[in-house]
Amino acid sequence: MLELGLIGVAQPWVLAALLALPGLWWLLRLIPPPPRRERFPAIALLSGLVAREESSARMPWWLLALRLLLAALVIVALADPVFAPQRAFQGKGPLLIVVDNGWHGAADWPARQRVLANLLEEADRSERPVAILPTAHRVAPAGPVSFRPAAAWRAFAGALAPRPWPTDRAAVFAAVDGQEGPGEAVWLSDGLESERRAALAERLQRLGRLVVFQPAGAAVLLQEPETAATGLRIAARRADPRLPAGVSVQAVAGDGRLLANTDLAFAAGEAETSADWTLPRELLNQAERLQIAGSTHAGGTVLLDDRWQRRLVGIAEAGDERAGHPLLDPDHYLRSAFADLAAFRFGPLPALLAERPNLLVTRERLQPDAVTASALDTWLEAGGVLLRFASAGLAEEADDWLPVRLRAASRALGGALSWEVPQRLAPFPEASPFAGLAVPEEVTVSRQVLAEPGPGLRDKTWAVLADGTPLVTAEPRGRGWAVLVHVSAGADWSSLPLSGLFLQMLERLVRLGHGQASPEAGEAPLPPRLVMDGFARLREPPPTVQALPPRPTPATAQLGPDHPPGYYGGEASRFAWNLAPALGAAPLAAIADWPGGVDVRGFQQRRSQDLGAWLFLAAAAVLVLDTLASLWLRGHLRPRLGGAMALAAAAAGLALLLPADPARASDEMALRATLNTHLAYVETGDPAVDRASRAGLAGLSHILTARTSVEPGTPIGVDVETDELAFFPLLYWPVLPDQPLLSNAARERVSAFMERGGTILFDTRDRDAGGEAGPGTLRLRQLLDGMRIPPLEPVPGEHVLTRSFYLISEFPGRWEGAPVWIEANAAAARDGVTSILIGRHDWAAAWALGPDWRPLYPVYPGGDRQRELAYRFGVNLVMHVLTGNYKGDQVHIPDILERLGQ
Amino acid sequence: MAAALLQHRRREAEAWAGRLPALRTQALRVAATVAMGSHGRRRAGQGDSFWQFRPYRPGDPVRRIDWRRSARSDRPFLREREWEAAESFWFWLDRSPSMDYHSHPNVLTKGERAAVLAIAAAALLAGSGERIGVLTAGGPVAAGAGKHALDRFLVHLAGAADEANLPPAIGLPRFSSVIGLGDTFAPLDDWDRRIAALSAPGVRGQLVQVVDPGEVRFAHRGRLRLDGMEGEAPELLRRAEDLADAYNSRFAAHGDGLAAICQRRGWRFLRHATDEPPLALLLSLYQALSLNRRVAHA
Repeated sequence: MLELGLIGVAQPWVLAALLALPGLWWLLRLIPPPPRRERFPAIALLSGLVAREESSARMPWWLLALRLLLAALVIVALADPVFAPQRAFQGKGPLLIVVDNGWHGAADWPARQRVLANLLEEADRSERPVAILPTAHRVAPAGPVSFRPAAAWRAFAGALAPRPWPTDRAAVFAAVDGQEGPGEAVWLSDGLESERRAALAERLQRLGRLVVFQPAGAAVLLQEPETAATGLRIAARRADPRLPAGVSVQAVAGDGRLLANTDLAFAAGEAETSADWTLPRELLNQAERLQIAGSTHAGGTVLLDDRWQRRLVGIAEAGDERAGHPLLDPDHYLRSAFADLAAFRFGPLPALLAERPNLLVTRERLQPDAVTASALDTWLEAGGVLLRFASAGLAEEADDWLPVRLRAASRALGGALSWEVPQRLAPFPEASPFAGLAVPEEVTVSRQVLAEPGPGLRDKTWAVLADGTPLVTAEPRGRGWAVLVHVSAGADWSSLPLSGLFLQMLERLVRLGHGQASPEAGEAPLPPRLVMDGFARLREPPPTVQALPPRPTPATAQLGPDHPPGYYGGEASRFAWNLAPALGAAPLAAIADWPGGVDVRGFQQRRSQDLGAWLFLAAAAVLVLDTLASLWLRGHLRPRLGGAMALAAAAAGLALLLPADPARASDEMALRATLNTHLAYVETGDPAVDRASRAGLAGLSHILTARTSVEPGTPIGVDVETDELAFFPLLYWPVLPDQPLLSNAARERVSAFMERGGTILFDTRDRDAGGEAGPGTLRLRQLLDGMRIPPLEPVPGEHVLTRSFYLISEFPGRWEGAPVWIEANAAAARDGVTSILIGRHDWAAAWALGPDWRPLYPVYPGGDRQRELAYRFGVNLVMHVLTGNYKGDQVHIPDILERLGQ
Repeated sequence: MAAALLQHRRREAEAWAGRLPALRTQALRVAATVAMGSHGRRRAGQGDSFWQFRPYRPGDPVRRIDWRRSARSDRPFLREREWEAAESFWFWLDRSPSMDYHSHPNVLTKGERAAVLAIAAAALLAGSGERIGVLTAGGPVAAGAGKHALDRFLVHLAGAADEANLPPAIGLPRFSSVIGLGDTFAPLDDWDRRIAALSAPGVRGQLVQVVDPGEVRFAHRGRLRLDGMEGEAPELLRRAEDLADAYNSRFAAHGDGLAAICQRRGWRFLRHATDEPPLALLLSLYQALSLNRRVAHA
């Protein structure tokens, strides 16, 4: 296979056909393209006219290039090109595959598995016996290597997984030691140096040929963090001093949530780096693990347990006249001791309790009030540790939170008038949380308070002096502790605060908060709770995992198949057993070089892809282009006129699809409204009312058409805010109690409508409320507020409205009885037509006719007579509006006089 | 051509023919000098015009005695009528493959246009009482005269489907006229001989050249290969527009040559392109046929 970078050609000899392309070019130049052909009956008249020196026309150069490209594409496609080809293994003898599946093997495990699968397939095809040796194994390989057919290894290869412990190449070396060739060895390495690596490579090379697959990435190991003042101090190591330039470290909670992340940069050329990471206490306490973003291997993950939890220590304030002096101030020692251990707060006791600290430190007598006392008790029960330091006067007044009863007097040792010398500390009792701490020589106690001896004193004692008197006593209170240190927190009673032991003791006490004893201080072995697999996922421990010995360190327990990384210990107190300490201080080194003659390759991240199909596709496209070009040259592709017209038609059709602009819509509305007379009603938004209005006006229109010469069209609903009102002579406005008020523009428009000749019939539709204004009327007043309303009066008896068509004297609607208000002294300019009518009789419901011209709503109380009168009022109103006061003349006067009784 | 197509063309042709008002039979019969149809043969025979009175001879049918003339004298006389015989018009339609050509789909092929013209002229002549017939390779086929002549004419026309370029050189009876319609692309010498052969017994004729506008003005461009439609050798033109002028002049010369040949033999030469309206040609044909009458009478 010929390889040119990323492209490989399977049949390179086919590419020799490319040499024939110039010949093709020469040939195509000679052959002219076929001309256009036309029929011509009068060809006899052309005989002799055609000159004989017609040389063959040249093929256009672009057609020539197109055809050459076609030929070249076909030739290359036939040569079977492959993108990112897999290099085949040709060999004869048995194939030995060494797989590095240590903790760094998980970094590119899919690529590793793919290469392994390809190797097995190749071996199966060529029927070579295969042996697979993983370097991070549960059980060390013993005996000579057994070669089996490739198919038998498939299940094993599929189940092969990376392990979270380091590789053991020495064991593999031992297994391979006796092997002789001829054969071939393949080593899927993880790129990290370890003991016996070079020796193993050399031994493998002796088999025949050694091919090493080496990953491209660089290994980064995350170290166990240290607690810092504001959070954590994280550190990492990298194998390659150049790559990567930095990593991103994330803090992940137990349920997988990402809590915080930070960047950790490596200095150029440095293999180690560390940085401080400020984490809020709440986030830190929730964090279960730290991991390098994007890493899938066990080295990039550090499990956290209580050792890194940020504790809160509350130090109760005490009035002390020596507070200003740094070295005499007892708080100074506490402050500097807790500076690295936990967050601490000074404050009054109730405020401290509110923050739920892990440890509460007091130096004085406790005399809290009832509320604080109960809060303190609750906090103690929940697991808080109350640490009390002795002070002068503590013994006189005992309170409830002392672990032991104190003797009234304190003891002074080594004073000027005493025979005794200051006492030293004795080793800590086994049962105390301080067990295991080394007692320095220089710690002396010169003054202390004494506990009353009693039967339970020994159990409560956590630290003793050399003569057996207790130094630190503690009593359990629920899940918490009340601890008393029998010396003060300053340097005056003892030199304990000056020593490092103070720090360690305080650290133990801090961890004691929430009822957790430091697990590694105990004696019991730590059974596994959750273990990490090669991909840094926690899962149930398999039965092969052993319990860690008590107080495990990398020296006492080896991280390996027996003790994989994970959580060990009790239910509540778990101990995180991490990979990084097990690797020790040995630098992480990348494999620098391999012995000569070794074929080093990288893992192919790209799948090889056959390009032949794509090239054939391209050749087909070029063929289509060539055919089109030939047709065009022969004249078969002349654009037709019809095509251009079709295009123009399509463009016109597209233009028609554009939405009609609103100006045209309003034009249509104007046309509709003016081509005929329409009665209009104001749309209130309430569909029932609008329906009634429309039906009412439709009924009125029907009556008008039947009885008069007015033939209105269908009623039109208008929106006072947006529609033009000038088209309508009469506007029926039902007023709802919750009708929205008009905007200023709408108000202006309505006023203008009324002034210029329109008439609005306001119908408040509320039944007669006994003289009071109904809700509709109130709303109407609000609506009309701000409009230019003429003066109103009730309809006088001789108003033209009473005789404009019918002679009526009352104006009932659905109801009757209330007065109808009309414009007083209608202006002559409007021909005496009133511009406003206000009533409450719900005329639309009285006029409303259904589709079969039957009334829709009943009328009260009059029945058909009342409805007829309502119709007559409607007719009169419309006639009055349309005709002005022409009936104001004397046409009906004789009848009126007659009816008046004369 | 198919009979159905002919029928269709007939309807179209009759529509054209109906547009010529002056050719109605009654009007023509009034004017004797331009009367078409009955031509006096200056002898006694069947006819409508009076020729002479002849004394009665024994053996003549008694009912032929003209009593009015006999009453003027004391001998019986018979009225004799002039022998009026219709002139025969023989149509020749060029059916060679070159007539199936049209340069643009919007114009008719030459063959179709020639058929329309032929049927229109035949309708005119038949409507005026002339005898019409079809000139086929096997001889003249008469369609007779009268109102069914056109139908018979169409049948004969459909049946005569030879592919000669020239009208057949066969003897025609006296007092015949030939109306030939074709694209007349045969060489001028051939046309000369053929027309001479046809004119030998004193036959006159009209030759109508029906061509396509693409043949009148050479409009091809670019590099193309021209194929003849009757088996001529194809011509490969590198730049067709270069030959346009030469071709046009050749075409005009051919037409002029045909006109000269016709002139010599007493024929008329009419030119028609398929993008012109057929009415124009019918008018010319009518004019030519009327003049032909005058020439024949004189």
